Amino acid sequence: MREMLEQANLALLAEIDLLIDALPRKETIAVELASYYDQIMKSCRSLRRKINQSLRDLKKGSAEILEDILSNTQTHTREFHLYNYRLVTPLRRYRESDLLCLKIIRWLHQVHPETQKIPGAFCDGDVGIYPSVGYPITYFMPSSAQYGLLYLPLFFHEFGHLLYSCHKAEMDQLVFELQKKIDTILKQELLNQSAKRPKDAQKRRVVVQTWFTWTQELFCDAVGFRIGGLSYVYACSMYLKMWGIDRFHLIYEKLARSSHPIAWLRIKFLAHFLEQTGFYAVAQRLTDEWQSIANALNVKENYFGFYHPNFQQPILDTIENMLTETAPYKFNSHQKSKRTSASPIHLLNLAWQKFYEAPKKYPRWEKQAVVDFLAAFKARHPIRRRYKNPQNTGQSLQ
Amino acid sequence: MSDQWISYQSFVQNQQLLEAINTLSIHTKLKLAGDADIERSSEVEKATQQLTHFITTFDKLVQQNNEDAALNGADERLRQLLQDFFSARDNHRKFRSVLFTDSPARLLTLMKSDQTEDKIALVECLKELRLLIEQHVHADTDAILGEF
Repeated sequence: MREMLEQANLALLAEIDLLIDALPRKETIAVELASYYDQIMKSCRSLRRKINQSLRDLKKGSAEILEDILSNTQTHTREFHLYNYRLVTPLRRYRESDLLCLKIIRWLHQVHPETQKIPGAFCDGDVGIYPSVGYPITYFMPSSAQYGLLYLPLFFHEFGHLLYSCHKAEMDQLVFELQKKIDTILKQELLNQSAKRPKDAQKRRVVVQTWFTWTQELFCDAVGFRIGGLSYVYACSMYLKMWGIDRFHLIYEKLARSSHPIAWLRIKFLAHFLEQTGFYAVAQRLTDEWQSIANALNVKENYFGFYHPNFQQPILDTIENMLTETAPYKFNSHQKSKRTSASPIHLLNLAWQKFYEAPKKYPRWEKQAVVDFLAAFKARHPIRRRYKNPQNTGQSLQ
Repeated sequence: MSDQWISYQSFVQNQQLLEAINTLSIHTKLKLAGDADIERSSEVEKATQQLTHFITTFDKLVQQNNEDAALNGADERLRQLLQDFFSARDNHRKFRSVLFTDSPARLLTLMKSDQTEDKIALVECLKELRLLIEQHVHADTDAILGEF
């Protein structure tokens, strides 16, 4: 066992070195990725230290601790795989065309005090995030969406998960309070029914449990709207509405296992947020659009007890409290876009305006708009594209 | 949109927990064998804090019954761990430490004690806690890293 553990740890050390050698040199990547790069290197150094500690522990000769060293070796192997399979991908894949997404992620992190020092990057995948504080933050965006403007506001929803993590204790408390309210409403509803079914208590528990992640998802939609304004609403609706009938209706068993509220319900809450901020016409159009698809699919609204109209106000109140706690950047559509501002929000809203005005002409407009946005950014920060002193980038861990 | 954030956060938390358990276990065993293990002292302090935080939260949930866990601070993965804990508590052959026969809070008392018999009991608790977490981390590992 001792020899096997020694071999495994030495092999892991060698693999870490190979991984580092496989990364691009720091001076060849965008400055927007620099802190992400630094954190990856720091994590590799930390992992190396831990593996060396295991090798020193093995030399102590104690048979008692072999099982602990085995567990440590397995834990460190999984940790390495996480970096090797997932977290280094944004560095390995880097090319100039990543700049649009990287600038938006960097801007997003910089306008929020709690995330200013947290590095972020992205790679291909369904819209998502790895939001654990203390680790490099990786966002996911489908390949085609990375090069256009329309779906980039979906990053703001994912950023909501990171904000939640930064305020986890307070946010969890707000969610638990909501869960208690939902439980009370469900108990009341059962009392109002004449015949009580034996499985009601169990079903009530499932509904209450489901709202733990559902609340976070609705909060993230609220963050998306708060940061991105109408651009988020349009992006979210367009992204979700053509996936099929399961965005409008799910059976009880699937709802019980779902991490997100059914899309139609999310859209209804987005319509509430729009009304709360005075966008009555947009809210109506959004609601009508989804209703017309539901009609065409012959779907009737049914959440099998996972949603009840009496939940609405407690949910809206909870989300408002969560927004107060996390204070996301608030987009004000009445403010004029300043050329000196690095905010991409006006551009993202303008993109949707242009798309709805002339969808056929839109791709051409978008292409030029992206070029102009990146050029304007480059002009504002002319010396930031490359590091002046590559000698200080220190790629080696030796 | 992806729900990988749930598995990812759980994976990361469990990885950190396993490291903390192993650090404390190695340190306690070496001390029992007469090795002061001074080089690990800062890691031991960090591991103790991490485990104290986890066990305090977990013990509260165990004291309430499993059914009310959703209303008392447990997310989906923590609820699953609780269920695993309750199943393990019924498995007297495999799980015999005071962590399961008494309560998770006993681990906090053992961590603070300098008595040799308490240190021996602590090692047993850590071993069984590790087994519980390692079984639990499997699902998240598959979700994040896949299977070969």
